[in-house]
Amino acid sequence: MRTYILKRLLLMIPTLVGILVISFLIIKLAPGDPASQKFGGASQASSGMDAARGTEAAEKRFRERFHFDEPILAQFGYFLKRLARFDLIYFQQEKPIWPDMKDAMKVTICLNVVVFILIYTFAIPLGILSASFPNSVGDRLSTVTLFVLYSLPSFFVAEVLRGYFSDQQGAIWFPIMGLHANDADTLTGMDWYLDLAHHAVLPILCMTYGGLAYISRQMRAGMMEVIRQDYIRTARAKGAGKSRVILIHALRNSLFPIITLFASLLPFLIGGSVIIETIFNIPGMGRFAFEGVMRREYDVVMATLILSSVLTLIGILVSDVLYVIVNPQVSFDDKG
Amino acid sequence: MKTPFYCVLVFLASTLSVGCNSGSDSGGGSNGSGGTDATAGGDTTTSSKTDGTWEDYPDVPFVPIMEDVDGIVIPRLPKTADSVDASGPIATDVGNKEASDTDKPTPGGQIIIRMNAEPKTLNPITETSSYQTYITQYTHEAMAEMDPETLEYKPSIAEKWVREDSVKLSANYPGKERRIALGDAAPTAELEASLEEDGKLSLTTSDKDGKPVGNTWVHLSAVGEGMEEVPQSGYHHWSDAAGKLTIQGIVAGKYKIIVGAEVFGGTKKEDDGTLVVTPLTPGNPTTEPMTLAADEWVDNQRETYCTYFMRKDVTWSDGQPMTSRDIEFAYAILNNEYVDGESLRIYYQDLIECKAINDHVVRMRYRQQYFKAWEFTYGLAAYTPAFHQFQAFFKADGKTLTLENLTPAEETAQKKVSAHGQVFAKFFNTDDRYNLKPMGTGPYIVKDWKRADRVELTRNPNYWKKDELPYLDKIIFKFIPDSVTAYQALKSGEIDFYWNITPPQYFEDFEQESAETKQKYVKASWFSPGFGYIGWNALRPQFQDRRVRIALKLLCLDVEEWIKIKLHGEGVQIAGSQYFFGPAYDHTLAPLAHDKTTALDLLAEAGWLDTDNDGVLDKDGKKFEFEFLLPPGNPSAKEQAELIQEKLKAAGITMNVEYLEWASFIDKVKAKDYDVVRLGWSQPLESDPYQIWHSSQAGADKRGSNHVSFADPLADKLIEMIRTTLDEEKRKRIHWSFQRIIDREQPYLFLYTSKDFGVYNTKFRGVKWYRIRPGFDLTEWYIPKELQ
Repeated sequence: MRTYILKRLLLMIPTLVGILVISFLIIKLAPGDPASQKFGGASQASSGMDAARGTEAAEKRFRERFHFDEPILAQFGYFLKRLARFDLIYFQQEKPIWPDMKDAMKVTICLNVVVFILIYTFAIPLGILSASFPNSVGDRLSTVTLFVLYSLPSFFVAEVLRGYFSDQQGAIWFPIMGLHANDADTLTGMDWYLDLAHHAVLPILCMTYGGLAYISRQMRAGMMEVIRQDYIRTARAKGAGKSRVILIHALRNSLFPIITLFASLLPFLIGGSVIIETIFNIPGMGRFAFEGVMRREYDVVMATLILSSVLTLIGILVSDVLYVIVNPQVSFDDKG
Repeated sequence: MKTPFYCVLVFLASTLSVGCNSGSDSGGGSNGSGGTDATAGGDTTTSSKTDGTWEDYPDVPFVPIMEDVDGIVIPRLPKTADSVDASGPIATDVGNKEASDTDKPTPGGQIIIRMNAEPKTLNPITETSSYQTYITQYTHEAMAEMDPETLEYKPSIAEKWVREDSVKLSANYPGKERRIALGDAAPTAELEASLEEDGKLSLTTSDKDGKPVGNTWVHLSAVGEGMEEVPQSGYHHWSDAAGKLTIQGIVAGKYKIIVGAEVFGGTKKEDDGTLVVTPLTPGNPTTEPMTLAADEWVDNQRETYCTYFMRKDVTWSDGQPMTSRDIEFAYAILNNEYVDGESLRIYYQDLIECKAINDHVVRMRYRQQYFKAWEFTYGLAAYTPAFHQFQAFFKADGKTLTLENLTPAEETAQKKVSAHGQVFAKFFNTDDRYNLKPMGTGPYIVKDWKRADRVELTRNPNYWKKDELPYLDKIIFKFIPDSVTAYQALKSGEIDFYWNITPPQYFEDFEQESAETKQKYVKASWFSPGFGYIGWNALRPQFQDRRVRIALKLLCLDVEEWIKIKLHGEGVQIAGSQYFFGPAYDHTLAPLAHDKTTALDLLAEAGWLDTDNDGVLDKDGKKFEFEFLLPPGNPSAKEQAELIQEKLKAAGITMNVEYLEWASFIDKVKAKDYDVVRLGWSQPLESDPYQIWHSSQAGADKRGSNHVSFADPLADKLIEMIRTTLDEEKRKRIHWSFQRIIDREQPYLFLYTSKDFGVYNTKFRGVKWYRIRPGFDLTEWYIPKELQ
């Protein structure tokens, strides 16, 4: 198994290089660069001064300084050099991107951990329950509800929720944006966390329901497939009770697809949601990456891309490993 | 940029009369059609002609208003006013039904205001976004401030200022003889030299004995052919302390170079050319008035010296006094090439000296006569960091901050950090102690900045203007980019003032709110300087003929109707690029009317006919088709584009609409890789037309703001005149002539200046909406005691 993991890890290197090259090419394909952003961006146009008097020369100098005028291969080289030294910067401010990235990541991970826990806590029992009583009224009802939920776009749900719960005079209300009240600094201990929780309810709800619907459907499908297997019939024939059959015999095998999914969700854990973060004004990774793209901060874009591709690769590896661990029928040993 | 920018009005009939010398308006017709035929070739525009000069200013070329093109009469809207003035008193609390005359301004309370984007830092030198300036206007102050009602400047940090002129003596002025030498050649009083492409000229200034004299004025003027890009006023330079000067990076060609000693003071010119120079400020090396005969002086750049007398009671928010050293510090930082202040440095490149005369007197010198020169000098204080604060930062590291210009080796040896050096620059660019909470002298201080959430300002406890204290204890700028979220935040009471509410929210959504909500908030709209336009890329063959551009203006859009219906009348159609309510706009020039018939006549005249009967106009076998480029995120511009598309289709022109996100969009515009673009400019009250319209900024290889590549020799001449004319009334005339050329050529389809919109809580009183950006001053707002 160790050799297998080592082999997989080594294989990641060429994959990662491929990803790097392609991402770099694609972001460079988009017109514009940090120089034209800095000297012709929105801020300049709306700053009320005579917008571009002589910025041409400044723009050129800026471009030369960061080698944006050189062939793409050379630029890629400079990027690799910066990457190797972890010296990734916002070109327009010449400041490392790490502090901002760390802050954004903290926010996103905190939210998404809660979201993941919620999804799995509800999705697995729901899926099992549906599968246990297929075609019952309850199953059909949950199927319809979940499909509806799954199809609802999150920006729409966000607006509906906000419309309903934003009235502070109402019995139940939630703040409509941000993660902290304006006076959060004056709150202490528990109050501070309660305030955070209060703010996080709506965004977490919006990020949860879609995944919940999806995972519980997967769970149901997995379970349905397993209980059709011969060994389940055998177990039943032996006289095991329904709940014992489902929870002891079937559960472990029906979890395989869920485990695989979990690993592939890993990158989303830190990726964040551009839409939800924008709507609720949450300074997470989604907005961080999105603004990076809009402002043509290449290093921000590349850093987030690398992070999510590494996590995807690790996720795939982890799910393969987990698959073996939970399923003794599969092994890494070379049978041939 | 989401939406373009807007401005303010107050109609005041003023006594401006339009006089012209020769040729009344009737002369304009023949003149207007004069140049059209030349277009076919591939010139970007035709050249304009003048028709005499203005009666009141005989040296200003007069340009008549275009009446017809090739005999086709061009329809115009009826003229609405001869003049419109932005200054005048402004009413308080308009539209606030809760407000009453008995409201008493009371200190206390706070305001939470929505801002649609967050600045990267609040360092006024390295971050030049408008968002930074909207926040730091409460924490920083300039030498003078503009009264938002009278639009006149009044003292602030400086209690007074004196402007003086820079006079250059002739090279042979007795006792102050100056000579110039090219390379190793012998020094002479003047010389001619040719500058090669990418070459340089090495010059030395000296006295008559050949002994080098530093800081000597050197002037270059073009004498060769094909050097139109050189300003008519030439280039003004000064040699360094050793008398050396290297000229490079200017237009190649033959120059005449002259040299002379400089004196400054108030000047008075007699009819015979005699100039009396009177020193007006302390520290002037000339102590007695000088009388210079006509042949004793060669150049006088008016009002290029400005000496500020700073008040002695101005303090930073930590209580320390602000002195002239702080201003010198700001100037050093601005000129430190390693400081990330390039965008600002460009504006200040002609501010060539800033020198403390004593602790509270500081003198600034501008390179040449320029009507905006003073604006640059008085504004410098608003970018100024506190020297003592930075001194303390470096002291903690065991180093001393200095204004001396030291080399890195000297810095290390003397344990000093020079404000001109790289070490300082790196610190200044990146250290968050200053960048997130810059110390200023203003009524508020930055208390806290929660990234991606809000900036909190609280009262400056040491504010020095004891009799001009603001009322609100706190101003909170809440960053909410998404307009739907902002609207929800207003309704739920999380913000008090929704600034930049979208027009649909303002006109439709808010109207449908409950009576209770409508009771709680006041709607407000106000103009601020700027305008929207459609730009025709003159590098594209179909837009090189002005008849086509005029036709498109008549054809594309009924702007009046658009303003009436879509903007609910909250905008004004414009006919030129100056601020409609500013001093330079020519109100005698009415915008062109919407008229399809005339438009088709003009197109036919220009050769665009539907020869193959397929419903699309063609010329020389080519169909009339183009792409209309616009940035996304502006639903109103999109709707407008679709309407234009329809109208043009009916007239036989195919227009394809293309949306691009901002970064790609602006890059295409700068690279001039587009047919037609929809954009807006934001402006000062009176703008310098150079950057948008001068031919030196035109052409495929330039990336400046003249992205439509407008080029017209007379326009160039007028632009240069505007820049150097200090007399406001005279400058107005030049602006008018210039605007008439723009009208005649229609390089842009001028749309309108529309208003800014906002909704705020009725509890705020003392609210006024001004015609200058951003349109309001929160230091005047207050909450009556009973509502706090």
